[in-house]
Amino acid sequence: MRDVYIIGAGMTRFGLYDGRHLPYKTIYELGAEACMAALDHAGISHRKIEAAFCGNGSAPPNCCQNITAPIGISGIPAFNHENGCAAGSCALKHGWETIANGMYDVALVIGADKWSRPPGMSQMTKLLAVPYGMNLNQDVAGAFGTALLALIANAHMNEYGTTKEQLAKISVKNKRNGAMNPYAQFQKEVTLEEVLNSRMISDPLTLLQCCPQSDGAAAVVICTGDIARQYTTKPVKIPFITESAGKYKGMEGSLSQFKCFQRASKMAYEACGIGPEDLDLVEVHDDFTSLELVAYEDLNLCPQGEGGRFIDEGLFDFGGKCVVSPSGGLLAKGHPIGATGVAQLVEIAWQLRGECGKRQVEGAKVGLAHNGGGVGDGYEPGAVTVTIATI
Amino acid sequence: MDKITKNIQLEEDQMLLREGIINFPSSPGEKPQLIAGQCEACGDIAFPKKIWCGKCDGKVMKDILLSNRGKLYAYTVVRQAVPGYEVPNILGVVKVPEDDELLIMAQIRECDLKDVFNGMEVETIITELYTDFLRNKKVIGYAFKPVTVN
Repeated sequence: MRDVYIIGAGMTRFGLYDGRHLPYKTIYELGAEACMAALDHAGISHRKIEAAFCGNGSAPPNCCQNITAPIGISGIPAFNHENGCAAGSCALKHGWETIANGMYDVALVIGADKWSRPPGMSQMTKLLAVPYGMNLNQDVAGAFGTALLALIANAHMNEYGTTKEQLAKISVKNKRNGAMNPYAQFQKEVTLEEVLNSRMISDPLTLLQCCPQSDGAAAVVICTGDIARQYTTKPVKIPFITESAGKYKGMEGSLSQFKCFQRASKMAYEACGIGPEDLDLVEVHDDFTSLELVAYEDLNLCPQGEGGRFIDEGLFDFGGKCVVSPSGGLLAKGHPIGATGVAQLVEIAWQLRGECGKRQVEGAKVGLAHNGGGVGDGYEPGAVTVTIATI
Repeated sequence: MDKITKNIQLEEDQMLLREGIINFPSSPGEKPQLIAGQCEACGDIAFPKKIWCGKCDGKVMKDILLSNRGKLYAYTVVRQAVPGYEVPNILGVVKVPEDDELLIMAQIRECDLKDVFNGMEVETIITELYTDFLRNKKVIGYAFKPVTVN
């Protein structure tokens, strides 16, 4: 296996490109903007790209080809990935494998999605999103994502005494980080009271503990070590990416931990010879505060059941043990489904290169991205990836 | 297991959540029960039942009836759902005595929002769950309610 490096990373600001919140843009325009930013960041010609990989959940077929064609990239192998909220990192893993295995030397990995709809279409969007009869639990819940993460919060509170204030503090932290990120959908701090007093969606999760609906795109240029050294003195190495999937009864009767997160992170740590104590920053899949909470424990950033205490003590803040979600995470930066997994690596690449300005994690050398998505067998996500990056 | 669906009379505007997952009572004294699948080779229990076993090489799954009673392991009050569901509603995860690793997601009905708690004893009921308005039918399925002591 060959080493694989990120030499360029770029993204659009996340938000609603619906013509009201932000200027109207199509998913292809957003994707192309991210690709051009990544290619310019690398200083590499678009003509050098040998293959392209794209994570997406909302576009018609061949999203990747339609994004790259207007920027002069066509006639090369192009692959489109759907894997729920983990589509972007699964596209990255596919691209990473082809470089590691010697199939290609330079590739472009894209994540792009657009979920805003013209006014009046929201009911139709909801209908299309949950076709009855597909998954029994989805039918029974009627609000599967939010409700499941609320059930996880409830189980964690019941088993470990975690409080609703501790959960809410995760949103306060991530929105504080997002306020320093010009690419974030929400760039405004919120108080603990505002989080707790916002509209209840599914107890104990309030509106400000749920990630928003977003549009946006992110891209990275990945390549071999030989090529990386031609373009930059600061290549970001991706030593390993693991992927795991939820399995039936994988939770062993407990909703307070995701065994598939534990499997994926353990494999990644072992493959890289890196432990959680070596991490300077982590971008977790904080679509809801409760998922960030269980991720602390499942990624072994803190002992099982102590996520709440670590939050109280600010150990995942700037200046703490390890900065979690310095970008603002999904809660503040936004969550354009297929773009998220790639955007996490964009943030980590920028952080390791020291290019993050006000939200720079001082001296960051090792980062980890945790991306989970969809509905698997049982209650765990259908796909979970853990990516480690070093400089 | 031939009584699986024959003991339920559906109205014109009703449909079943799924075929073959609920054992409907055949007499007033009987209680509804969920039908799980059990692997004939390793004994693993799954609800909803699987076609092939997820734990061993087994390919023969037999129907078994789960207890009518269980304990509420976790719950949430859902206040926002897709169209067709009444909110607020209590959504729970129930554990039954047959298998501690089995987590059954179900709505908790006939329970005041302020009375729900972790560990509550619950029993299986048959009720209208939501409206499938692509087909304009009321969906009949399983739920749980608190066990009331007489």
